[in-house]
Amino acid sequence: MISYSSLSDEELMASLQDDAAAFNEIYERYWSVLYRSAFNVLKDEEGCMDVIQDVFIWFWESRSELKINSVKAYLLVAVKYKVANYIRNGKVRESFYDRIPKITGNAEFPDEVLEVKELREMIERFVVDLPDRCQEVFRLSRKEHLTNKEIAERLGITEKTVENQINKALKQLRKQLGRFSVYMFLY
Amino acid sequence: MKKEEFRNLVERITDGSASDVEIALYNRYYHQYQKAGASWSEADMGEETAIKEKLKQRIDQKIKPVVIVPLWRRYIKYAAAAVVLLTLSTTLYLYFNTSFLKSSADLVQQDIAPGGNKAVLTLADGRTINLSDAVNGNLAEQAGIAITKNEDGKLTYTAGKVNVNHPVSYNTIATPVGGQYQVNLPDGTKVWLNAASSLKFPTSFAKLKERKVELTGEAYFEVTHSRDLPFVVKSGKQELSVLGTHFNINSYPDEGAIRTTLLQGSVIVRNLEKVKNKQLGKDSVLLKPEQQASLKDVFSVKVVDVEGVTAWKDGNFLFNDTDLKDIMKQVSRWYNVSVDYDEIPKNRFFTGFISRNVNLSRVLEMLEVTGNIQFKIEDKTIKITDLKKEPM
Repeated sequence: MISYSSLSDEELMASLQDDAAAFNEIYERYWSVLYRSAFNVLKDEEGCMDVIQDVFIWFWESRSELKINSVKAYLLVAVKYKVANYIRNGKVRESFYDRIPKITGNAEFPDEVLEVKELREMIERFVVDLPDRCQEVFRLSRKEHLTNKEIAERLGITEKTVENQINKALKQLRKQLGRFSVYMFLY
Repeated sequence: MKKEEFRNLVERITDGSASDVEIALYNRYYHQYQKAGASWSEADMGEETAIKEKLKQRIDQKIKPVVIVPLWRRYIKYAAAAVVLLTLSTTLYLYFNTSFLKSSADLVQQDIAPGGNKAVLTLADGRTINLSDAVNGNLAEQAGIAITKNEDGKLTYTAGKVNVNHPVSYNTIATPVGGQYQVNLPDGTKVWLNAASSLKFPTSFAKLKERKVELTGEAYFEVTHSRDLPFVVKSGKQELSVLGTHFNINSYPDEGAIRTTLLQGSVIVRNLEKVKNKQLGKDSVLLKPEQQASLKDVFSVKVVDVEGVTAWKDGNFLFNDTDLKDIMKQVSRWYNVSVDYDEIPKNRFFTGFISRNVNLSRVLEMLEVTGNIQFKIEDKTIKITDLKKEPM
């Protein structure tokens, strides 16, 4: 019997592939810091539940392809992304917008460039799941900033198709992002 | 920053269109928010352990695998006990009435073995797997979900990487006459499937807003509670919704009604044929424990003997003032025999208990002993003679 609490993050990640106990230990270690991070922004239990739940489910489902240096840092970036997603889906109360903080013009933290890179990668993780052609069009549009006409020429398709593919990508993305956010109540 | 600007910012973050400058801006906001503090505040956030448990439960329901278990070995111990009881009563009877010997010998000649763990699994792509024949090991892979059978016949669905572009896939497990099986769903819900029944279920609940399954025939459900994901069972024209509880649904077509029996908690059953103008009590009913809803044209509700209704899933027949015709329906489904219902004596009620894990002759003997009737099996059809009417 292994005692999971004595394992390092790296060891946990290694046994995570087919081992729910390793997952449980990761939950045990980091759920609270992730929850507190989301709560500082959302100030709402239901929202934080949604966000953290999404992050852990996604973490479990994509475990086979995760290459992570720091589990905690990685999950925190995922929470940061999911919080944006939660706000975007219009799930926050009106009072949330009265609390938007003021920020100063200059960066106050030294790792800004690194953090941009991390969040950019996280965003791309979610874009990767789109069907191939759709994905290629979307990438050229949003990353290489090509116009629809330029994309059409490069891929040998019509502008109309490009437009459709981008709409499809956005729709799929929204659906995927919002998929855990709708709940029904019986009574 | 104004509401609209902020909404635009998070929109661009989530759909992947944000520039590096916008990502940096969002990061700064996020940092600013984090200045509120790093420790757990019970006043704002509630009790930490409670939240932790609740959240873990919600996550677990979404990621646990489906498991399908044969029922057989569950009730070996009941079977042994029942055989002893039965032997005892038969001996006593033989002692008093020697004419029984003859009929019993007739029965044994053409004896029929009880049903067992038999089922066929149909995958989303139409492939079928016979679960009784399937060898142990990896059975199939579908939409990133692996199905494996291990030594004790248990089937487990393990989700690998779930591709979000895959639509939710459904599998169907169907038992033949004389078969039974158990399915454990990803949320921990257990479903016992009786003979000649089928259950259609999603292979993963990860993307769903409700846990919806479809049933034909009979099944007993132990639904794991979830406030966020209602559990819905569609059977024929009836739909049942529940958050978590134990109940039995019997929807065999030859029963003439869909009967839902509640053991604990509460469930709502609705008549799907009456979408509009639903009348409370007739087209939609809230059941309490020990109540049974019967849906023919409308619902009727009565209090029933719950143990009798669910005995089958523990491997028993349990009759409590049960009409012979109802008993014979159960017998025919479990032993894969037909019954000549034209000749069946009316208004004959039985109370008793016997394992389902014995040969058909044993069950019929028990009924003969207590009911003044005689059975004959010809070509897998049971014929019944009413001894009360026959001149002795």
